[in-house]
Amino acid sequence: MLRLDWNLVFTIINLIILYLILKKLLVGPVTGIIDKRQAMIKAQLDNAAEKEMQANNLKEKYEMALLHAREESNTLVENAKDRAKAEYEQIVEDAKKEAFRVKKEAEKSIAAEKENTVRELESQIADLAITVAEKMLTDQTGKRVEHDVTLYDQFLKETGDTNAADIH
Amino acid sequence: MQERRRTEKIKKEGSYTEELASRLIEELNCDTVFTIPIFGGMEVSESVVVTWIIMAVLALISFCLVRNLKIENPGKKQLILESAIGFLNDFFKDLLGEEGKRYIPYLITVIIYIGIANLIGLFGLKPPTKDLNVTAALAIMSIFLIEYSGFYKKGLKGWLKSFAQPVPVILPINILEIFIKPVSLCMRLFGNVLGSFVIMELIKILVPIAIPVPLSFYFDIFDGLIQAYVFVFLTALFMKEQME
Repeated sequence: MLRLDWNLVFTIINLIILYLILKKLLVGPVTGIIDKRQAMIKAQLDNAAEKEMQANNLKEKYEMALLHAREESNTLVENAKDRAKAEYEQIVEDAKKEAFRVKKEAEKSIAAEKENTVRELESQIADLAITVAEKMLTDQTGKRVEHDVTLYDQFLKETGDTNAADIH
Repeated sequence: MQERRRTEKIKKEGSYTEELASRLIEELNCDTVFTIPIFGGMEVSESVVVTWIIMAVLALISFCLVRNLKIENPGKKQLILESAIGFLNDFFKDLLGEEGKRYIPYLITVIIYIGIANLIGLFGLKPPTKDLNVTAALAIMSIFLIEYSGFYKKGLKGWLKSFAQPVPVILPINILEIFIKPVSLCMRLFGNVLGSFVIMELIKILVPIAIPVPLSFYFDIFDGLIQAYVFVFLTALFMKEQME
């Protein structure tokens, strides 16, 4: 029990062999696989981070593009509105002008018509007057009135009864 | 008449204790299994043969376990293996730091070997750690590793200088430590295993039923594992001390 002999040397040899066996068969492979997995996880994490960065960049780009597009569309709409407004005003202006012109023309034509009518009336009145005068001159008997004064008086008497009363 | 009976009784009791002692000694003794007939006969003791058995079993088990290791989707078996080895690896890494990484496989080997050696009594074999040769060999390996780690880290000059640190006065103590450390490691392990073995044998001889079960848990399993832990823990601690 309490003796030191060759078995000490045997045990040392055994320990060294056991160390080599376990290092080769157990510790080495297992720690190797753990390290490999860690490396893989690290690589994947790095990859993920890189992907995320790329995604963020893309997102920023797209957001920028979207913003640009929105701005552009806004300016387009604004432009269109402006143009429409201008056009509208133009049209209204034109319409106003046209209406004014048409009104003017109408007024002019009305005035002309009026003048025409007046003229026609005048001529008709003249005709009437002549006819009346002729009728008067011819009288009931168909005889011509010789005296001018009589004629005049007759005319007055026939047409302007009321006026004559005022004058006299 | 009464006198005679009494002497007979004493004789009987005496023969009981003698029998008990002889059984204990038989249990304690490490038998020589065979002798190699060179150098005047090298006696190969039981502990060495049991160590061979442990080595064979360990090699076989690790060979079986290590096959088909996968990086992705490890099986249950691999996860257990990895967490066990990873636990030991981290434990020693915490103790030794990055520079002591190269000594970790040896320390893992030693903790597994001592642990199994202490527990093998449960399978009916004699624990090799009950033999002074084995614990002495372990301690010699440890002190060699301890000094080598300091030597490797600091070079010959730094290693020699470290004996005179922190003050040159303690130089003799530091030199004595080269012998004290392995002796304490060796004797602690040997004494604990022997002591728990003796206690367990005594209990088993006195009360063979029921009582030995809980005590066996303590003396055979708990104490054995604690001693394995203490041995490698102290070795790692001394190495760290040397490397500083």
